[in-house]
Amino acid sequence: MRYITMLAAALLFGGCVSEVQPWEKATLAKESMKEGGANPLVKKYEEHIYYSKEATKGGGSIGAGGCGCN
Amino acid sequence: MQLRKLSLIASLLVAGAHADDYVALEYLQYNENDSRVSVSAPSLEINKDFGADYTLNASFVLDSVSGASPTYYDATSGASAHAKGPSGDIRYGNVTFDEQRAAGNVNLTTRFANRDELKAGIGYSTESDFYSYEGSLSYMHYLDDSHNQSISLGGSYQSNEVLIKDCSYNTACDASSGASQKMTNDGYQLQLSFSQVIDTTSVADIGVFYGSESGYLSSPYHNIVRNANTVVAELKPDARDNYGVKLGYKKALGESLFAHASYKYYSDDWGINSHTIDTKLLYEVNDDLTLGGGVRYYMQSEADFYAKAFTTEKFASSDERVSDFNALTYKAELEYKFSDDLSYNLGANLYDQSTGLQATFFTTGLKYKF
Repeated sequence: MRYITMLAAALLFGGCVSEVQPWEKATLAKESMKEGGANPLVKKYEEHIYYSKEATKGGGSIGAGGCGCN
Repeated sequence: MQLRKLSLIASLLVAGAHADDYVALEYLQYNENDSRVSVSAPSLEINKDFGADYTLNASFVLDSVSGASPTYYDATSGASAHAKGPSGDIRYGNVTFDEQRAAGNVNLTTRFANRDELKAGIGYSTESDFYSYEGSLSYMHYLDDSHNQSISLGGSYQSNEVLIKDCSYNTACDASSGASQKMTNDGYQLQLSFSQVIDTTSVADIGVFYGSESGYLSSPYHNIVRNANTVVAELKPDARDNYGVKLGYKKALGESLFAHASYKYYSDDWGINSHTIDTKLLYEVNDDLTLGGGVRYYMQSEADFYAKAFTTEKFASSDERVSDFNALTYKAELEYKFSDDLSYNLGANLYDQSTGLQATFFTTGLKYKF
């Protein structure tokens, strides 16, 4: 299973994947590397605004809520 | 054993969301041009860990919405949003409304011995003419010991009630008396994603999603014109299936500069296809101050039933949200840490749609870690 996923990752990401050890993840753990940044409420506002003004649905947060949106 | 401990610590750090107990207060001020919609929305979020295996997150928001929504109306009938002809004085303009919305979400994340995560959530949203209830479930599984790869499967189900306050001219209603009538719709979304740590400074993810909804999917506030002389409520199809693909990439460009980029493709059986490209740069000026900026580009094609005027078509809408348009958002943000526990954030955004809609939205908030 491990080799299958490694192969799939290599195909998906162009063979540029390297094995990163747990103690090498300080940069990846920074708030500036988080999806949506340090403030999830801001991300929620943005998703709600786009949801109410555009036709696209899905692909954002699971369980993002809805609105009547005049 | 030591490696296993380090792996656990690293996974806690990378996942991030369960590394902090915090309470956050945020405020949104949203304003559209042409005296259209204005929204004031304070919100509150609480995130609390219970040991290393459970995290409870709850958020609440109150929206005060006022302004006007553009649609067709018959001026000879008193400019009502639901006015009907035949008449010789059909106009396109803003019909005013005021609305309050209260919404909340509660999520519980459970972590297992291998640090896989199960997240369960419930949500609600209420307005005077709209009620929404939602349940969601997602599972994230690490594919390797170093936690460089993970796969997530999530789903949500939403049930909505729409109150049509004036049924006199709405062909979707069964009522002939003109009294208000409750309509319903429901839908679900499924999402499968794969995340990969590329190297010590970058991570990428790819995901696919599928959704389906059915029931009353029209807006009771949007009208159309038939035969150039009659205004009636729009009627959208009573089902919609959609699917899409999303790609994301985050990269640290040195010690203090970070780049985020994502692309989303969307398609549905109403004939709408869309592309979304979202980018952001964050610059850590020092340990306390972070500045950010970005651009989001969005484009969509129009629905099969969208037009400015109709004759006898069954499904018909002139709602700009299902029209052909593109949009740009320009984003700027600031984060300042007063201390390790207390931080302040400020965001300013300009949203510019090719339909003529322009909006500014500002966010400001405080986050306290405890």
